[in-house]
Amino acid sequence: MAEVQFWRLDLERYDAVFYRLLVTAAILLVGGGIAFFALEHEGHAITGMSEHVVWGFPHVMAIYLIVAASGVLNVASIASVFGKKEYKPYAPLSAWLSLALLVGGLSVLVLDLGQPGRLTVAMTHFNFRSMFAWNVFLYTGLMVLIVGYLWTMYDRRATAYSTAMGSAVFLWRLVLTSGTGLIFGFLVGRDGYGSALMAPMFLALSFAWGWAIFLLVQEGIARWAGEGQVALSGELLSRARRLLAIFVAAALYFVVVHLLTYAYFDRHEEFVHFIVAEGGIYSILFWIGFVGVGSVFPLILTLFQGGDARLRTQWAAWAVTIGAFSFLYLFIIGGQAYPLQPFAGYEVVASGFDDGQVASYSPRWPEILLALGGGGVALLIVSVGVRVWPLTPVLREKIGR
Amino acid sequence: MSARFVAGRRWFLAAAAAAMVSGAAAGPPRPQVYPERGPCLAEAEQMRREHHVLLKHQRRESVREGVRDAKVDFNRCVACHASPVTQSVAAASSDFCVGCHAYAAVRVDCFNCHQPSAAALMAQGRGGAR
Amino acid sequence: MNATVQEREQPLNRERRSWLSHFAALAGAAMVAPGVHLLAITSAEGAADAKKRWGMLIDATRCDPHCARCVIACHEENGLPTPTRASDVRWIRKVALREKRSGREVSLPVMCLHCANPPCRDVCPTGATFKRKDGVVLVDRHICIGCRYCVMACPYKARNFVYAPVREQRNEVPRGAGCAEGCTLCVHRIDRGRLPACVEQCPNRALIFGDLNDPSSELVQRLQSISATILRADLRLDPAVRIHGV
Repeated sequence: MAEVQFWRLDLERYDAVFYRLLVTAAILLVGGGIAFFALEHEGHAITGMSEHVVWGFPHVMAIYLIVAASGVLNVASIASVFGKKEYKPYAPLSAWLSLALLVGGLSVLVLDLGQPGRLTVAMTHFNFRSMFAWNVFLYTGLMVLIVGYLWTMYDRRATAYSTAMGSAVFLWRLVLTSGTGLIFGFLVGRDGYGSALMAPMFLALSFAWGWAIFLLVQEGIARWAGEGQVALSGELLSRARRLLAIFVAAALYFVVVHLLTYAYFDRHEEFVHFIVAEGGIYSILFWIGFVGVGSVFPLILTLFQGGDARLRTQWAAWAVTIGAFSFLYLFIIGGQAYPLQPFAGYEVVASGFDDGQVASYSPRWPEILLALGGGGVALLIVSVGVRVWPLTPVLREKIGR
Repeated sequence: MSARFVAGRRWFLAAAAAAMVSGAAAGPPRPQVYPERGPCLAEAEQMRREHHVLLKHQRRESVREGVRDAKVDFNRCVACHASPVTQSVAAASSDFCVGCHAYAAVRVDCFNCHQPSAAALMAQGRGGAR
Repeated sequence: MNATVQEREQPLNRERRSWLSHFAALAGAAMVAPGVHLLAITSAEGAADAKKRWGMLIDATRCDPHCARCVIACHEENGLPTPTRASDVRWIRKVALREKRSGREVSLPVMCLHCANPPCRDVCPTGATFKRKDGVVLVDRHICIGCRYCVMACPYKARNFVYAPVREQRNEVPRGAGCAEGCTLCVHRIDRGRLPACVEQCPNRALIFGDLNDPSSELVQRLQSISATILRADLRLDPAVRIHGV
């Protein structure tokens, strides 16, 4: 009789894949490092960012990683908080992947700072009116909680605390992702932001993006390890796929409601028009990237039966991830490209600072490499983790049988 | 705790300064001083130990409270300590600020923002009254 | 309303401040090594006055659409490079507007409005952005980490991020790459009783600088006789810079 055990991936059989992953991560990290030192030496002037668009591609990447990091934990939460035992074998990978994505996202955010050397200042001076100051605690707190959570998963003496720890992680990351959304929710000055809905909207987005990236990573590991690795299959796979559909639908719902309320308020009507019709690249990203590829396509793939279930789930997860980047790009960059409106009732004829103009932004190599470097950090942590620690479930013949 | 930290730093800086004064033969750089430019704000011994505390205190007073023409004035420090050759406290490795800081291995980033050149300060007028 | 609250708080604040400074003197004398008297060296006078609230009136009816003397004066005074790229800072800019209904055209300079409730200060994670006692909103670059959240928060596009390294700073205006910045109302000048550079250089007296808490000041007199606009009044930020003619 076979039973599920946790096992680290077997060195002799799989090291070729492992070293390929390491090399990929190393290339991404070197690229990120070069970008970072270039920024340190030349200043941010070598990026595509400007006085109009101050948060660029690195922030798209960082916020994707941080939001997905929170959502990935759903797998563990479903097992320990909501008592669905079938998901339990996947809980350790879910926690570790969350940690990896969080660290990757935070490294991009920190290395993109104008004064990254002053991280100690950010850790010792706090203005508690600022969402960023709260996020310092929310992010570091989640890391500590995840480590504790992993401990309750592995140490038999700690299993009693598993549900309590899982609940703590679950509640903490609800607050954390609300906090990430409220970075934008508390921006009163710009037409594209400043809405309480940003908190639940980011929660729904995190559920969808995290679930998708988990399905991708779990499937990747299953392929890497080959026979014996417990891939999601059968009833569990179709339930995971239905959950993905629910999360994607919830995310789409919140985005649509957000835009509808904005379209209803006169003040924001023009902004909605910009996003859905006249925004050029941003409208394309909205309709094709987020709505089409990121929402409708995965909904069709996940809700209808037929064909290879595993393959269709993978396609859906990839589509959701593409939709995630499309959404963040149009949300973060588009929200800044759309001009500020300080002069109500007037149109701008001329300005020494491009008032009233839609700002242009195209990322240059330093910010692209820096963003990819964050992906490299996450890839490195995940690869090394599953290689050296028993994070993933493997089918083993019962010893002594 | 912070007092202990400060005390530790002070000990280290004092040791560094002592090494610089005593070990001229061993080759550590000796910051050039120009007595003809007048006396410093305080004794050399105190300035070596406390200059950063003074500057930091003054920085808070000036930036946050709007204190002008205080006794401790970054620009006046630069004007008085600039090398006659480079006209700066941070241009050559032997210049007053960077020379000592390189020896003590303490990174100083004042001059990313503050003008290290006495010539520029003179041209713009010292003390702000143009 | 704001002014009355401020006035009421004044005596208390001043008292507390002087009491605190005595305490600080004792603590300072006790803390430093024998023979070292930090506060004797750093004693200072002429700090920002909490009774004042510096403000400005931009009179667009007097502003010449073809003149940019205020912008040039600002760049000279603060050592800002002539802006050519989208990543160059502009603490002040000239804007030409047309009223959508009547088609009336008007020209005016816009800079940081030095809000009483500045969103840039609220979002700053380290407290680097702060409001001085006299209402001037500034960045303490020593603890600015360059996150640009303040640039995102400002509704007036008055915050800038320094992208390119700075080599030719002006004596009184230290600034460098990687920090946020904006109009300082020329604090280094007003602290010495001088006018901000833009105000001084305006040939048409379109910019009037003064103390909003002083009823006898020209600024308050003008504000009493005209109806000045508050940009984005819906946000209730209570800016110290008001505009006439828009």
